[in-house]
Amino acid sequence: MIKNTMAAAVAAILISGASIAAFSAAKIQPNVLSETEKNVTAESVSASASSTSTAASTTTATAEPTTEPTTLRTYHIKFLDFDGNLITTLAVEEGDPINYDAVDIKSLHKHIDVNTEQAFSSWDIKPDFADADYTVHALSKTAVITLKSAPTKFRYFSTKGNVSLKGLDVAIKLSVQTPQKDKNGNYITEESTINISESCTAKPSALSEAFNKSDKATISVYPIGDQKALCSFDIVCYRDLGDVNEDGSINSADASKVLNIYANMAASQNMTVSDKTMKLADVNMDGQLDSHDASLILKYYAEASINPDFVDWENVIDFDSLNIK
Amino acid sequence: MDIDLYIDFVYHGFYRLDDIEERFDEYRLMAEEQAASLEDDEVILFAIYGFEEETERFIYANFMLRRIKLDHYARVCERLSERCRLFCVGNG
Repeated sequence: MIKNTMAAAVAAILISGASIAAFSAAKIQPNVLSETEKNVTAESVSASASSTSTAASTTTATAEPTTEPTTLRTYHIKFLDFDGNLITTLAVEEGDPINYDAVDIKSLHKHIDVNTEQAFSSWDIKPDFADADYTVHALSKTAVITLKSAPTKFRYFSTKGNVSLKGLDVAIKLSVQTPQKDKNGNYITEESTINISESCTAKPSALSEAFNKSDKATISVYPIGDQKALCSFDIVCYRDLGDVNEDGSINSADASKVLNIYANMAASQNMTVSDKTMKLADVNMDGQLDSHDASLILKYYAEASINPDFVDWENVIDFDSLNIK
Repeated sequence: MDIDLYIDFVYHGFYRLDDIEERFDEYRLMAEEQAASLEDDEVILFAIYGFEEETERFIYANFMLRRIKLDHYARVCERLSERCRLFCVGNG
């Protein structure tokens, strides 16, 4: 079908060339040729329609030079913005294409508020050529970015890897005006929502960068390609928690050391533990160093032995249920 | 391949080529039905297919039933032929 259609298109263009040539001739000798020209061109045009169902040559059509018709009307094409204000008016001669590129649509782009952006979407009508005066309205597309929930992970136990945006829920609601109007004369909008949580980025994104000066950091969340932060949240690093002997790994030796310290503390009233050791060994963060901590370190070790990937302490201990000071 | 569809210059959305072709047949038939009442110097323009200038890719179809004078049609053909294909019927 499309082949036939294209053939018809070629035929139509060829016809236009014939028509144009005929008009040129008519203008030179109007009394002699005008009627002939009409008949020829009318028949040709009619033939172009019937040719839609027949094969045609593949000749590429080009418009023949022609003399301008004697009286050409000038039509005015008014372009209005979203609020109905005039952007510009183009004066276009009858039959000439309307140059939509001449209309400045960049100026229609604006920020309505911090999270709402509006821009040009399309024209309500788009005549290819001028055959009447037209008023063309710009239709808008409006995007509203909504933060439903901020990231939920804020405890880290190492400076390896990146900040997690787990729990982040951000959506863009897009409202696009269509040329159809409702009973009140307003353009009907089509709405869609796109979840962009996955494409958001954290700054800083590397934990090593976030915690390079302190064990606390503030992370900003950006939609991809945007310079304006959506939200920010604080994270904290319980650096090397469980690595009591500071050998770089968490294993039974750490559990053993915790039990050893616990036993010494039970045997001696004067036994003191350094702040650093307390910070590394008190894995359940209850302010006590006891067998519970040793047990949790062993649990971590068991899970880490099975899972070659890094095991997050939050997979072992439910910190949210603990009353951490 | 999805193509922008306009009906009488009003945007109607993206449509598949098959749908465009169906619409083409519909409008051609309607144009042919109305063609009997045309004067000799008139035609009914019923479709404009728009193409990308560089790639010749079919990008939009605009269907209408515009009764226009032949000289007007010729002028439109001349001016739009670089990027459009026009379809019309006469009463011949």
